[in-house]
Amino acid sequence: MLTIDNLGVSHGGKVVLREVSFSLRPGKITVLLGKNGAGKSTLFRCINGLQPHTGQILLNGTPLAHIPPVMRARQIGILPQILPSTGFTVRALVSLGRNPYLGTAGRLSAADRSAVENAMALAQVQPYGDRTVDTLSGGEKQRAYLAMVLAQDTPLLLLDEPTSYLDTDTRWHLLKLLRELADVHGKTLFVILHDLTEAVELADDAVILADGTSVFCGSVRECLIQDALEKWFGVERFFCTNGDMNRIFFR
Amino acid sequence: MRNETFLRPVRLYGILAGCLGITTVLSLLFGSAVFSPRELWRAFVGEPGYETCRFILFSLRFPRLFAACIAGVGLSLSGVLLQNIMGNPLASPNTIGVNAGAGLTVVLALTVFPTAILLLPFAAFSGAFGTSLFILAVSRKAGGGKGTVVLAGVACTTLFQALISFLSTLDTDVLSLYTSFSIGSLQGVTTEQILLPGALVLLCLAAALLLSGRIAVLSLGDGIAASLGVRVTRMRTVCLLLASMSAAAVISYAGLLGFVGLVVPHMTRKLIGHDVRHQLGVSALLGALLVMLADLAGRVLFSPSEISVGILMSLIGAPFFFILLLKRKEFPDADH
Repeated sequence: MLTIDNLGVSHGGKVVLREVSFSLRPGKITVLLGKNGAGKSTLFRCINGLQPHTGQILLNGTPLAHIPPVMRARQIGILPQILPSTGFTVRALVSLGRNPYLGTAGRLSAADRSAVENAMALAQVQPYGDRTVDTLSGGEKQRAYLAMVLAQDTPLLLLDEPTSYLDTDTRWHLLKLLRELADVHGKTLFVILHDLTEAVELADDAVILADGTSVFCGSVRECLIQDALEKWFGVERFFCTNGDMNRIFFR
Repeated sequence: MRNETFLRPVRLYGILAGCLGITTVLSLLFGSAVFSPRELWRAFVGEPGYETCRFILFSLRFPRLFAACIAGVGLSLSGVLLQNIMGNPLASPNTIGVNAGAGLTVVLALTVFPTAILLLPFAAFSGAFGTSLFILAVSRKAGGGKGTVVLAGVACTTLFQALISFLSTLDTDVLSLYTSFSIGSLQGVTTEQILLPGALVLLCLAAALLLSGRIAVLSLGDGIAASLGVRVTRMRTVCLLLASMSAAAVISYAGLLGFVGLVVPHMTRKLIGHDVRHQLGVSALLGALLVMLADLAGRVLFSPSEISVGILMSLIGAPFFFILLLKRKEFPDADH
């Protein structure tokens, strides 16, 4: 699916990322972890084609730089961290997610409209489809933009801190949705999360960025076995047992 | 929270088309000479005995009407494009140095060839368009972001205004002629003067309408636009070129008509919302209507004297500008 090979980024002489290498497994959720300033969003910008870098990013074996932007947009959907408060209605915003499939005139076909409605249903934004995005709460806005990315209907989704601005209940619904996207719809997800507990619960694989490089790439199970989170984040692991349910917490 | 209620596009197009039709008829009826509808019709169909009326109609009022229409369409188009791709509600043709560039080349032409009045439209167009190309080149060298375009535009405007003032001070005849150009007027405009600019403006409008989907995506910011398959730098360059050409075409015959490019996009957003796919068409009609009304008012209200359309647009635009500054929260933020 997506392979990062020896990626490096420098800003004004300062090395932001160096020798970052890992691959995403198709149909799995990979979480990208790292402290603030580790270069997580920079890595996403590289994949989005907005950040000059050394090394290679390969999509299904083809260098990303060789893939036209429209074709790339049909393969990779990106939910950024900062979401603008636009005056578009939610429905109009979600319909923009179909841009990679539209002709020059930009008219939506019946299939496009269907994709828009499905995406809105999946992200549960239909109740406020006719409201403008700048009238929504932070969580509602996040779901509206998620619907836009879902309407893009890509096999690979990159989500930069999708649970920020969300209340607890909504966070769990979103994480459940992300799991469903992978398990039921076969999508590959690459997610930046700050909450280590959520990360361990949600993901199949993990990539940890520290000191500007990828210090761990592997399954979450391996990550736990190697105590990688404790080592790189300085946290402690706790277990909570509730009946026959065991949960891991980090603090 | 209640959402703003916008008019449906189809209904709005109908209302604007109706208003344009009424304004067209009024513009043909009224002026320093006032005609009745019957006289107008008879002159229009070429009935004998209405030659004077026919001459006024076809040689003076129709060209002026088209000139006003094209000016409104061209400047509104420029304003809508600039405000969307720059994510800045204060963006207008003036922001990217188009007006200042046109003014400078006009003053240079007046200084070097003081009697070659026919040269002025070409000078204005080349100055306006040339300045925007220069700013594009500078901003691309500096990274191509929308912030650099605005900064380069401001720098050019400041420099060119200083040069204009310098040259005008040296020759008071130049100052007098430049003042008329800088106010903006449709007086004495002929059909020949507006044919080429009109074609250019309509071409730019057609191109913008074709690209409206991608422009809408670009208004969400570079990151989202890139992720949705838009070539950000290229699209921004194309839009800047369309905005520049459109404004330059109008400047070439109408002078520096102020506030249209700033005010009309805001009025459009109030009516139709922020979707640029609808904004382009609506602002074109609204801009044409506004300039036509301003020109009509200028001809009629102080008849037989005439107030130029540029002055009236500034009288309308400046108070609106203050209201805009006081209500800044209305415009959506765009990430950089």
